[in-house]
Amino acid sequence: MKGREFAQLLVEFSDVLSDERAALCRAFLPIFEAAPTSNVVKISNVLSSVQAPGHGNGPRLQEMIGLLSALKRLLVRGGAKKQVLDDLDAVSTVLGPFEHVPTETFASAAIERLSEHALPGKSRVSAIRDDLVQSYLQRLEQALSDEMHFAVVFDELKNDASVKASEAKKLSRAFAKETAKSRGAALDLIWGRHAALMGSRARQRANTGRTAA
Amino acid sequence: MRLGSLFDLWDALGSLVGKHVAQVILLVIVGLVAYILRQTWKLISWMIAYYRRLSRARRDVGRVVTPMGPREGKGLWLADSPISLPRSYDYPTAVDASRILIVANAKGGVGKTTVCTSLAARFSEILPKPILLIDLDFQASASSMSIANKKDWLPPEGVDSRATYLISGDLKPTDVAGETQHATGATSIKIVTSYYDLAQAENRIMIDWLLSDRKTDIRFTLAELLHSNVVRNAFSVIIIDCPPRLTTAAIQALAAGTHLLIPTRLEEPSTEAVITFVQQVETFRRAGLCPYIKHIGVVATMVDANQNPEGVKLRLKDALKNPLEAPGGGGGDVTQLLDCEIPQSAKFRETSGKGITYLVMGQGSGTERVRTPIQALAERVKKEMKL
Repeated sequence: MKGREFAQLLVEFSDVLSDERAALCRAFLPIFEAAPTSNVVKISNVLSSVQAPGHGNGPRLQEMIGLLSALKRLLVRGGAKKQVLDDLDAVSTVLGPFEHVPTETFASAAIERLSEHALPGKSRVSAIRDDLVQSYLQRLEQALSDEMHFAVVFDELKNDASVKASEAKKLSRAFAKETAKSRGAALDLIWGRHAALMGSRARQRANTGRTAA
Repeated sequence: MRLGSLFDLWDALGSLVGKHVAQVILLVIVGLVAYILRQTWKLISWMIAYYRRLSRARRDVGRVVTPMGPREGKGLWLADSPISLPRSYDYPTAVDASRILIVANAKGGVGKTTVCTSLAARFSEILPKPILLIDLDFQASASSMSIANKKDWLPPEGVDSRATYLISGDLKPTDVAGETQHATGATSIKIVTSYYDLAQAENRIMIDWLLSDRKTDIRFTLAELLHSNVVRNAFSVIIIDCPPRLTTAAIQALAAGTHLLIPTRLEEPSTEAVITFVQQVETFRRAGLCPYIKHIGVVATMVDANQNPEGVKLRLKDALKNPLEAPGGGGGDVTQLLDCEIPQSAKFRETSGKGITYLVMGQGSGTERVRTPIQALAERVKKEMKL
């Protein structure tokens, strides 16, 4: 389960809680929103190394652990997947030693810790050839509504050995607004935007001048 | 028989019954022959007219022959296009003065009714006059969603729903202005309810029109009613919940509407349907059915916070920008995807059967996630419609 999904689970759960408990849930969930694409287990590992002061006001993590336990019972009855339950267990376990820490204090410290862990990733991103990405982005956007022209640019992109997986992924994020895990998947997403437009045109051509009335 | 024989017959009849009686008999025979001839002529005329109407009907719904073989034609509702606007009133001026929001999409399950009822609820808070919500979907979701107690809105036995009378032209402007059925918890939301009889009414009206002399254009029945001064002055805005098909009622709604809002889910099949629908509305607009209708935009509904909808949104925007004139033109650049989005929320499910979610969900946790986007959408619609 990704951090984003776990955060959404807590949002949905907070909808059925009393105002006070919902506020506690909302104070806790920014931890997972801060690492939306990271695995919950990985986030939990980072949480175990958080240095949070035990003093401060507000509800303690102990209450949050209780809410997570209630959520787990609810999900068990609902027949939730084992992975979701395991993720809940992982989070509850890692919170155990911090049960007397105020939730908000812990959340702030955890977000800071998560951002430190993300730093190595950022340095990798900086190696991407932005000029190459921008050049292809511009050409693909220009060719988007021209079936033949787009195919030419796309073939060039596909066969360009200087476009590595990182460049292709960044290009797919910029051009197709979707994230890919590999070069091939990124190219599929890029072609997918073009194919969707061509598909839309084909449907309209098949329907020209007629209505479904 | 020779003429001489006829005179002989006349003399014989005169001598038999007397001359005066014979004259009376002759007059009666002549009258009978004239009557039979007249009736025969009427029958022949009627048969000719019927044959012509039947031929026209077959032409209107019939297939056309192309070099590739026969194909379906442009459809019944585009018959007689360019469509003449009603002559009984000044249609362009009335449209300009009216505020009638059509919430439509030819795809089902995209949140049309939720958008309609939510907007009606929000408008009832901020607009001075009552809101008229018209349910033109025979499944009656808007009626059911707005009025908690079914007994309060289901048509009594032997009576048709209000929507049937509405599209049949049976209601007067004063009837509509005086609608008494209102939403649970909001007396300022008046509702024209529908039910399954509406489906039959739609078929009846369509077939009547197909075979009639078409002296009255039934496509504008609803327009004539809602554009009247009486109805216009009675409500701040009229919101029409359309069915997920271009039915008779939907066609009447398009002809009556001044603004169009298209709800959609952010997933591929739904967004594809949006493009087709926009193009079809554009075909109707150009044919003269709804020449002044204004697009407010496409509103995303049931947006799941777990989902990354940016890719789908981008592809929808691409297709909406694709000009109608281009080969296989798409949305025609006549509408746009709005920033406002209605989120997916358990609140809509939890309040089902209790009234309009926006009104009955109270102030508990999670309500702001629903309330705020609805208010934002209402604000956008209010601005576009100059309410």
